[in-house]
Amino acid sequence: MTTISPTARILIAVFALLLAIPVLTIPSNDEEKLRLFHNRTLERWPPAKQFVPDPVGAFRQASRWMADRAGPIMKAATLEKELLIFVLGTPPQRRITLGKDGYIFVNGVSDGGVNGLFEAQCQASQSEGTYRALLQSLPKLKEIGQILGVSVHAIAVPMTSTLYADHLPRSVPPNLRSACLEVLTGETRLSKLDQRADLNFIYPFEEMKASRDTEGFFPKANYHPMGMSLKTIRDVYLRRAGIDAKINETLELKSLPSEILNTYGVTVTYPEYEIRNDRITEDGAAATRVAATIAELFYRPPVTKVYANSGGSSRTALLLTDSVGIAGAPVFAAGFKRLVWVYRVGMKSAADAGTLLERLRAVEPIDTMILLLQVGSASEFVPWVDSLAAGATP
Amino acid sequence: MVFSSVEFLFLFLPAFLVVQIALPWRNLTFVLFSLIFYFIGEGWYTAVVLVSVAMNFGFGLAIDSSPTGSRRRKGSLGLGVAANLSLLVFFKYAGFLAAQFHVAEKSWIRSIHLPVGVSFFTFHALSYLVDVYRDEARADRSPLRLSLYILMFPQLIAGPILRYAKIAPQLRNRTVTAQHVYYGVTYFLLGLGQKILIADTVAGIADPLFAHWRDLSTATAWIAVISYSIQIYFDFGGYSNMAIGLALLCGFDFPKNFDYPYISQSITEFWRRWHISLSSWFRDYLYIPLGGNQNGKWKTARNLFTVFILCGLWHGAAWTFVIWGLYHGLLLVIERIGLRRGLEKVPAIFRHAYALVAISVGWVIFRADSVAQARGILARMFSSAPVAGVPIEQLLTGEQRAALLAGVVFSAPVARNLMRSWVALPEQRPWQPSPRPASYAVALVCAAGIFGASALKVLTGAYSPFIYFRF
Repeated sequence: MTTISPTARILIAVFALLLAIPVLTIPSNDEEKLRLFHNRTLERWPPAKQFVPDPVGAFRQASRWMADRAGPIMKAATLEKELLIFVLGTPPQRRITLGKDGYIFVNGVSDGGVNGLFEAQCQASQSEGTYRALLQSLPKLKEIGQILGVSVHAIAVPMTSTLYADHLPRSVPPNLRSACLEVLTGETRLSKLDQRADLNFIYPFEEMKASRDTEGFFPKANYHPMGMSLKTIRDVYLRRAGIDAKINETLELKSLPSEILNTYGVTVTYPEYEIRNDRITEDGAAATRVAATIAELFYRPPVTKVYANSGGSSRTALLLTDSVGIAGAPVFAAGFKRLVWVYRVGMKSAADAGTLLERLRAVEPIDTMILLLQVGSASEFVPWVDSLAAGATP
Repeated sequence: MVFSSVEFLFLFLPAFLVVQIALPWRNLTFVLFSLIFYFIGEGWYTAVVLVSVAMNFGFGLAIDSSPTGSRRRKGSLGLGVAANLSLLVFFKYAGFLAAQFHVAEKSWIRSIHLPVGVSFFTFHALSYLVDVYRDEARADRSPLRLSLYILMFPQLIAGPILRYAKIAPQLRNRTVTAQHVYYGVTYFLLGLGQKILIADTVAGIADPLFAHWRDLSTATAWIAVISYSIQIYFDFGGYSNMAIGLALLCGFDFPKNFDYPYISQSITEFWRRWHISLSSWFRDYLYIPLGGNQNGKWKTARNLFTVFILCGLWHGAAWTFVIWGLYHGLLLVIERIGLRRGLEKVPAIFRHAYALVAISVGWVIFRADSVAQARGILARMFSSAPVAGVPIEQLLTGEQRAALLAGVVFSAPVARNLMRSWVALPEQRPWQPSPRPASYAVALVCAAGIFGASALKVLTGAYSPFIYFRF
């Protein structure tokens, strides 16, 4: 016989109700918002027939289903990350590094390869192997240009790990920190390649380094260059490619949300230059046409945009990029009459770069091609250039 | 299912509590919920605990129906103990024993599933049979009550180990008052915080260091061991506190399982403070029946070694656990021979240092995946080789440093004693009314804070967006 006093009954009911809030609020969740929040497909409820042969597996799946949707997960995640970052000085994930003076770095693509980006940007891209491979491949760019009548340049974009290596904290393994610092302070192999006029290779490290302490130049808590830093990269390219463009854009120093922290739902603003250019418009119809033309070369519908510019130059460019191009494409568009941007994510093979150019030239009058990658991916220029060279037979 | 999971905290527990207050058949619903709890984690292996309950119900009646001191009574007990130990040996040690005899790795015997909590429910069952045999309790005529004793989910998979004779009256009659709810909730939330905020966070230090033990310097080896010492205490102690809290909410009074073990001044004292329900089980059901310390030094030493080798094996089927048990047995024998008298002559700080180092060495053996790993880490801990100089910032995040510090502070009763005057902390019975009524409110605010922080960690545990592909 168990006797429960009326007060105890009420108190237990209140406690149970409080505990159940995350589950009780599941039906009011917006599945699409949750999917975007988790940035993946949400776990499905296990099929009923699974509970008999594999009850443990089914319950685990049900548990994941619940964990994905439990009431205040979005607010909880944001609050937890804010507490971690601002109270405990702890990065929200192991692949994020909280640097000195408010700088925030992305050290790895996933928590599995926790320092993968630092290794790629500070070590691998500056290695003898990458240098030799690029040295062998890049001279073909000029030949390709002459044969196809397309000016082709490769741009390796310096990232914060090297540009602001002096802000890396001691939590970064010493070998990586010193490798990043060496890039900042010494002459590097990529700089040597950059200095060779015969290679059509641009690594605008010195130009970016000269401006790096300008407030908002490269937002402190961003992974990708934005605003003024992108403008610097583009201007170096236009100058080196000999493109005389009339650019009417305005730069305004604003306070904008951090790209990295925003990923975790934490909104903190930092100084950042916003570029406005009213002459540039997006040509949606052309982008659809472009996407259809190259769809076969991608595992999923390709991400493309076409920009039309009433200023700029008389040229039409193809800009093939990694994620740097997402913000970079409209900035580069300022230098051209038209710019076709293709995001390489989902591309079946780097060896399709030649075919990509060939197909796009059938729908757009491309006379300029820019290969734009963050410096850690510099070695990926080699298969792109080789593919272009293979398609450029006299 | 563990207490710190989303499904337990936010679905199972509230549903269970609502059913407990709403329906009159509380033992029945408690058993059903316990079976669901076990089934969610172990699936059809739930049959193993049901078999255990059924056979012990039978053995209990057989013992109880035989006259005290009769051969039949002894025989029934012997059969019951053998049956329970066979179950334990089959599921827990058959694979280990087969490996020692070089049975092929693909053999079924090497891959027998270990049903979670088998060591705990076997010890509960043995306690039941022995208590009935000793006439300390009558065999329960209700299979439901016996099921509740063995299956009760708050203690089913990690204890504390309940003595049947002590809990039997509560299986029949119990009361839940507002005080039970207050202490139950605060105990549960305190345990949740210990587990999630301290143990799980500190695990983030210990696990990678133990995994890369070959790269440890003397300093990092000690950080690894200290972190693990904090982790295991707050993990197990937290879980025990959650169990005590849950039990109070249902009117049960579970015994204290940990009593600040790291303030011990000897290993003898440590075992009075660490996993109290297990050490007292071994004392009452094995050490004393073996003769305890009544038959001279040699037999006492033999008994201690026997108990601690079995205690080691109880924790897991591996040589590291056997060595850990032997190590503790050896220390207890040495202390009994004369070390304890020697320790009494030195200042308390040295006694603490001795106990902490000895306990830490034990944890290395306990935590290591192999004897070679334990040896390697111990060699690094006591090596005089120059420290490699890995900066602390690289090893510990701010969160981990805070958790480690909290672990160290709350390992001693100083903080508790300081807080006691203005916070009505969770206590074992008998409960003394706090002189300041406001201290209950302060405690509830603290408990709410701990729950909020723990819930954040539980809810966001699986949240790991891929930043690169987000753009």
